[in-house]
Amino acid sequence: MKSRTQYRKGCARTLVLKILSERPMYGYEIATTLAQRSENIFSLGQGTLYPLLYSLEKKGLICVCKEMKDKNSGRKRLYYKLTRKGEQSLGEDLATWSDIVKGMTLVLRVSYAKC
Amino acid sequence: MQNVERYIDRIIEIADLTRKDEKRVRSELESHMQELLNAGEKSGLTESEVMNMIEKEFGHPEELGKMIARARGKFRTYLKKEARKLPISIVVALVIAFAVQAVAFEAFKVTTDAVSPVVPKSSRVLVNKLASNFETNDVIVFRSGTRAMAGIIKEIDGDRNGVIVSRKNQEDTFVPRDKMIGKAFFLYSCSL
Repeated sequence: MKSRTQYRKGCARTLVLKILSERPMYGYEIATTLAQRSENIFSLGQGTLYPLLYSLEKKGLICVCKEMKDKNSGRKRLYYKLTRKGEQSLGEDLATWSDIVKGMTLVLRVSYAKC
Repeated sequence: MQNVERYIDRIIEIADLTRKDEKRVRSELESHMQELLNAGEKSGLTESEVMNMIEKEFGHPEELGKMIARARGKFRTYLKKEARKLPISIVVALVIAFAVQAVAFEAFKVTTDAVSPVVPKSSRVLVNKLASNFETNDVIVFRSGTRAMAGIIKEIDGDRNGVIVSRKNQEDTFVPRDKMIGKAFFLYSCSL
C-alpha cells in the first residue's frame, strides 16, 4: 500500500501537467478529471493535489491564470495553466515515462517468462 | 459546514503561511470541499458521511498542513516574517541602548594612571549616572572641557555644590555637581 502511494505521488505530477496542458482548470476540476480518466486509481490523491499544485507553482511549471466566480454558487475558483517551463517539463516527464515503461516491461516480461 | 471549517482551520494552523498565502489556500480548500459536499448531497449522502469521505481522501489535517507548508516554502515564509521584524528590532534595541547610555549607565575607558591603583591604567569603568549620594573616596567620572576624566573624591564641597577631586600627580580640582557624570561602580581591567 505504501509503495502504491509513493508511485502515485510520482505519477501525479506528470498527470497534472498533462491535464493542464489541455486547458486551464481549477483544483476540484483537476481532481475529478484525474479520477474519471484514471478510473478512480488517482482519486485518492486529493489531499496531495494542493501541495502538489503549490509546489509546481513555486517551481514555475504552472501558474494561476485567472480567478473566476462561479455563477451559480458564487464561489471563487483559481484556474491553473501550464507555463512554457511546464510544457518543457511535461515533455521530459513523458520521455522519462516511456523509458520507464519500456524498461519495466522488458525486465518484467523476462522474469515472467522464466517462471 | 462547521466540521469543514474546523478541518480547514487545523490545516491552515499547521501550514503557518504568510497572510496572503493563507487567504488563498483557505478559499481554495473551502471551495473544493464545498463542491464535494454538494456532490455528496446530490448522491444522497449526509454531511457527516461526506465529512468522513473528505477526511479519508484529504488525509489528516496535520499531514496536509505540513505538506502545504513544505510546498509553499515554510522556511522562506518564516524567514520573510522574521526579516520584516528585523529592522524594528534593531531600531528598538538601538533606542533602548542610547537611552540607557544617556540617562543611566555609560562605560568609559580610563587611559591614564591618574586614579591608580584604585583604577589602573587602561581599565574600563561603568558609570552610574543616576547616583546622587557621593562620598569621599568614591571614584567618579566628570567632564573637563570636552573630555571625560576619572578622579577620586577627596572632599565633598557642599557650599559650592560640588566635590574636590584628586588625581595622581595633579593638583586637587573643584568639580561642580553639573560637571559630574556619575559614580564609577564597576571596574575591570582589560590589560593583564
